[in-house]
Amino acid sequence: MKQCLLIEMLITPEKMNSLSIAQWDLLVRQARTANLMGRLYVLLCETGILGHLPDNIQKHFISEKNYLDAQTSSVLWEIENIKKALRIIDTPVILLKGAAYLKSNLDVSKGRIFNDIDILVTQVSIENTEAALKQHGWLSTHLDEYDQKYYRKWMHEIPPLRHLRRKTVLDVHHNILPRTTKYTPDSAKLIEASVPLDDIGKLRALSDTDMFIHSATHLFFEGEFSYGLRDLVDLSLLSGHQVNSERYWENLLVRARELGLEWPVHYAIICLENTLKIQVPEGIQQKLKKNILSKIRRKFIFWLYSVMFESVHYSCKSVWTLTALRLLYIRGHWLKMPLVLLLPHLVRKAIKKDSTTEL
Amino acid sequence: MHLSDFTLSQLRHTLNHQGLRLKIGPFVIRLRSNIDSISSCLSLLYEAYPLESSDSFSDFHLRLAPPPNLRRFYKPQVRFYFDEQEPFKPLPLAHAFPLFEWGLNWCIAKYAHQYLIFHSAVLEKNGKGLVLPGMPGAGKSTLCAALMMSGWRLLSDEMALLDPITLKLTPIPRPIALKNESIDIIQALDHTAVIGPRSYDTSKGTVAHLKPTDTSIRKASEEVSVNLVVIPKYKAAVKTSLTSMSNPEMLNHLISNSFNYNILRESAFESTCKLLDMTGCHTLEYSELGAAITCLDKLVVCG
Repeated sequence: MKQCLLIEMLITPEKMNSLSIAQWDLLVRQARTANLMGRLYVLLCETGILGHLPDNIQKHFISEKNYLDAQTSSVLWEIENIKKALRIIDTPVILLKGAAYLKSNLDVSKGRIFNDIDILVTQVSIENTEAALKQHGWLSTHLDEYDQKYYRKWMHEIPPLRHLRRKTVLDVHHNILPRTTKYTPDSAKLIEASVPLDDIGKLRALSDTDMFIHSATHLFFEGEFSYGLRDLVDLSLLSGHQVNSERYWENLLVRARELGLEWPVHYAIICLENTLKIQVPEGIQQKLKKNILSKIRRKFIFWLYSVMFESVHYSCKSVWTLTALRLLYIRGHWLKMPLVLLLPHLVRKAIKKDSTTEL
Repeated sequence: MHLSDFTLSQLRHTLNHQGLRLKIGPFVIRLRSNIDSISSCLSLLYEAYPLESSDSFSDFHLRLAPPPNLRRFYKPQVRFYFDEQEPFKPLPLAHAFPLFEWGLNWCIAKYAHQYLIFHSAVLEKNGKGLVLPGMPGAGKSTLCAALMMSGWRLLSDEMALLDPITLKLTPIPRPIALKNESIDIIQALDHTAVIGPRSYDTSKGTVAHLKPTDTSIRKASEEVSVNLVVIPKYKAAVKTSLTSMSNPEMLNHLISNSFNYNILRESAFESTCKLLDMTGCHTLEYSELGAAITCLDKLVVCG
């Protein structure tokens, strides 16, 4: 399979020093589609290449940087508003994913696009949390009866809230996986291990290991992959300089086992190697071989994921892309919902999608 | 090489296959299309524009084509593709060329945050830059077209691209979008004005595009400093009058007419304040284009 230029540059950023103009044209387009322009910007700064780029190419990265700075500022402000709104509600507020990376000032937050803000609160406080947020201007979306039922009965989050003035979107979770899956972890364990982000301990983030586990779970339970490669890059940065530490991975696997989420971590390790050429220590690789690679079914799944990651732009799609994406779409839903709920849900989703794209 | 070097049939062939690389102001647009009205309008309105070679860096890759389904034939539509993704819903095929123009505006507003971008016309005369900010419907495009036909250089009819550090305006001369009555007004004002075909029943009414003057296109790489910011206000039967505006009031007006003030934030505020310190700020009420032009001409002689 032809490797995509973007992935090649993510693996060896120094190669950006010797790209032709036509290759830059392609790289910018691939990065833009993959939501990784910001990551390239960071790599260009780290390698010192940015200043040597011709102006007409450099300006695309300057534009992206300006956009990212504005987003960062907006997210930090939003976090303050959320904290204020939930001040009196009896629950810690655990920031998830992008918002947590940013507030914790982690490497993974540099150059990263943020969309919605995700928070995790205790299940018992969900009603009060939603009421408090509504009082501060966050209104429910997905107002039709089916969608409301879908979220409140089956999912691990209430329907997304949108702020009436700022138009920002907030996802309030009480777990990191839906109720309908057999893999739903005990969210109390996540909350217990969380770390404070402020003086009073109200605003929190998942522990380092739980952040990785959550990110892996999120990616491998997903059915739609416009952020697939970006999520894999997140995982590479979350493990970061600890990637060569056997102890780090062992702790991670132990914790993942405790939460019942070992397989997403295994998948993360395999995909980091297959796609981003990031190798974990030999001892860990041997452990995984015993559990995973002997099964042909797993090989097929990893091949599907590789196709998905590589198909980040139309220039690097293969004849298998559409098939792989469709199969992963179904798999993502199947993992989250039992078949008896899934089939009617998919039919309904397909009908609804057709009717909204009509002119 | 310029677009005028192609015959219409060569142009159609190129657009249909490898695409054209048009240099429009600071941007190189790679455009592909199999739609006849696109090639005809390009050949009429963009003939003087330079072309880049096929191995150059293109800022935006655009394609306009009918949908690959029944809407190709039944109530035909046109789709706008930005690097093969569709950011908008399709439009009727008859609006293909306006869709290209609006789509290009979208690309710049979304991906050119190296500039502070205001929704305004920009022209230059005697080395002096004039910015005409204004909400749609205020008569800005008509006045802009009339100024250009009377000898002002067009930098843009729609978007002022301001470098937030140097405070210079970057030209992006493009066909001026005239709406409804303006089309006849401008044609009557100057019979040599080259205006493209009309598109009826668009979201802005009837739209047609005025070809930029050759000077405007030839000087597309010459930046200009801002000397004047003038808010045009067309009012029937009113006497032409130019009124000074305070900097804070103009600042508010510019902020509400900016595409990306919220992205550039503090830097946008500082740049706009510095800019206003160096410029004259006015509102111009007028009912007659000729009188408005005379008034503005005077400002760049004395100002």
